[in-house]
Amino acid sequence: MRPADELRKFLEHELPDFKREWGSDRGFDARRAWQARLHSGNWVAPGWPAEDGGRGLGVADRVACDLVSGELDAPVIAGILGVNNVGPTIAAWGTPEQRAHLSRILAADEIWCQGFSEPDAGSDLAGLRTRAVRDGDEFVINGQKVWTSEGMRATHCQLLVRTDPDVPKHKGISALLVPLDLPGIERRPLRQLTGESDFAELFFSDVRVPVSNLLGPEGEGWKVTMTTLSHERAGVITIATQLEADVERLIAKTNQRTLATPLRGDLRDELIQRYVQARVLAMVGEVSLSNAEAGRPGAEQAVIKLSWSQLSQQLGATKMALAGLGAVCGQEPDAERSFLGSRATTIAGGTTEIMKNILAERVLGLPRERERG
Amino acid sequence: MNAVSEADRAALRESVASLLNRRSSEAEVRRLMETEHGYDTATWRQMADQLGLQGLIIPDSYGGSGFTFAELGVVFEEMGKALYCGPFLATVLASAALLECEETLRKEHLPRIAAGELIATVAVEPWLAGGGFSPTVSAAYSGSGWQLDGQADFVLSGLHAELIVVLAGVEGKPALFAVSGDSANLARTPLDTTDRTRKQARLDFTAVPAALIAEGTRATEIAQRICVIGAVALAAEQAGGIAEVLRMAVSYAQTREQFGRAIGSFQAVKHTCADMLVLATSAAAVARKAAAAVSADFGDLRVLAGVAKSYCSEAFIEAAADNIQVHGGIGFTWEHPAHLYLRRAMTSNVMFGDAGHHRELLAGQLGV
Repeated sequence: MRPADELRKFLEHELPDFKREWGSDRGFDARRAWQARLHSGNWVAPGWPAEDGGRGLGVADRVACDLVSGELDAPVIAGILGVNNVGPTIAAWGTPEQRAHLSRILAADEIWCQGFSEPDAGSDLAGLRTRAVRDGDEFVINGQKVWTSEGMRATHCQLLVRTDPDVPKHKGISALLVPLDLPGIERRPLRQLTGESDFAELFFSDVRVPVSNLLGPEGEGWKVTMTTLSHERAGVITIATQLEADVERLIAKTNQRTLATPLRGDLRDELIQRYVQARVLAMVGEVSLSNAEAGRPGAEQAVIKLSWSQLSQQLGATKMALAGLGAVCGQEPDAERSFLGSRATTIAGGTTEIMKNILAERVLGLPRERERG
Repeated sequence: MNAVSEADRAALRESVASLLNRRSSEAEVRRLMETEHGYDTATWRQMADQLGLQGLIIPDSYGGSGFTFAELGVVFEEMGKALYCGPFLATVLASAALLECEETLRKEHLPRIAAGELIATVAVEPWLAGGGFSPTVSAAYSGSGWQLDGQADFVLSGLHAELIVVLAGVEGKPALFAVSGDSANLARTPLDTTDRTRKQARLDFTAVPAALIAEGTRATEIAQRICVIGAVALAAEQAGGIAEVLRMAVSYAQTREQFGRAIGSFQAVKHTCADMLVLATSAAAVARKAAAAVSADFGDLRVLAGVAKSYCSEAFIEAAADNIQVHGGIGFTWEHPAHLYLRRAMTSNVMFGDAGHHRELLAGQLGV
């Protein structure tokens, strides 16, 4: 049986029980409980190698599993960042002692966040200033992080710090594994424009961590952070396919509604434009997948992120246009959330401007602009 | 059908690119643009003799190579890159129609097409705009056979095609006929096209003898299939064209200097090129998917053809315009090839249904 089919069976068995217990609650505790269920079937991190506690699935199977989860509307696990980002980084760079985190990540005993961006270091992440100064066998950390996903509920943080201010900026960065219950750490929720607080600000005041909490060598923090590429690839392809499903759902919903009143011509054309874009995006995803399976490099992955982010915004606008007055009067929360929330898609995880620079420089070979100073 | 690997397709692409590199240079394109027939017979013959291009999807039993449209799509992409001037699209469309007809017709024409000895085209304009069938050519049967009267406009390679598949009305109902290009009473007038690399003609029929090749629902099916294949072939050409204008723009951005550095080092120019890369990557993905669907006969071929044609048509115009923008003043000259691609993009957009037309069809297919 193919992994995705196995997962389907497992989900069809677990989801009804879960929904009986939690209803439509998708808050942190609900997602932690869901992760415990997945863990009982070893489905938390199917893409991890078997020796790390996963199933060793390749990109195609990972995408197929993601799509099954999406189709059955399974909750996102509480420890998603640990599974997709931090865990693989620890697996690649961690000492034998640090690898002990992996099983705790799977079990949701540890919930990890990533402390990267700072108020003065967004697109220019390498300009980060949170400082870690060596004092005997400890580092003393002072600084601030912003836009930390799950920062309020996390138990641990993969923290990027500056350990050497006297070398070129990329070379003076280190990665530290930091428990968030240490003295000197303060957390505040960051409220985004949609109203929710999915992110946090983290403040560090003379926080002491053992030097043995370094992940990878001192000064190699930048390289350590670039590790999670293959997981990203699967993720990018999945979101491309999910957007296609989103558009098809919108078409079905619109068709139902317009049985009585026909759709205005320009809105019909706009809706079909989204359909065309979504189908094309999913096809680029297929190309990316076959390239990944053949071990071939390709521009498709970066292209998908860029196209996806733009289409998300356009889709949000189309949903609003189709929903009319009701959308701005609380009757269409999905349309409102799509429109407002999608402002972030062209900013988070690499702004459109940076993505285009990367495509132009790394794929097309155009010259880099010199940095000032 | 022959099973073709990705490696085989890559080899085919290389061979076609190599031939076009030698036989369809910019100088050659410009030379052919100014001629009435717009193609080179020696090149046409080489395409058949060396690579069997005209017979690529014609079965072996008729002298072709028996490959699929996925391979033909590769050929169209390369032709789109090189702005190949010749009746290839026209002939492929006619073969596609003939492949749906009965055996005697196939045996009569397909081997000569595969050998590069017969140039053919289709006149199915009444179907191109969609909607109802309102024929501009009517057919009537007299004692000596069928005769066609009326006018067919925008016929690809219509001036010199030796065989023309014509969609006409028989008492208002669709029927397909085969007409010989050198018939008496068939007046052929070349059109003054925006894209001179692609010749079109108007055909005026006055009691022109014709052979009936399909009627009623069968004729409708074949005409619609021609339109779907036309859309998919053009999407492939457009994808190739986008790849080429991207290459041109990047090359220029790397070499042209202003303010003491390559203009490609400025973010605004970089971003335009990045946008073009997105168009090129996306167009290639959808054009190839649609091409694969033609021979595999996927359930949603008509939807895929519409998605491909609508996307690629608009993407090619945008990319061709961006290419001119990156080139600045020199991009606005006659001597620079950028406008040749823009003209090709403008024309390909409206042939076999422009983007809006295909979205309209898609809306109907999706119940919107």
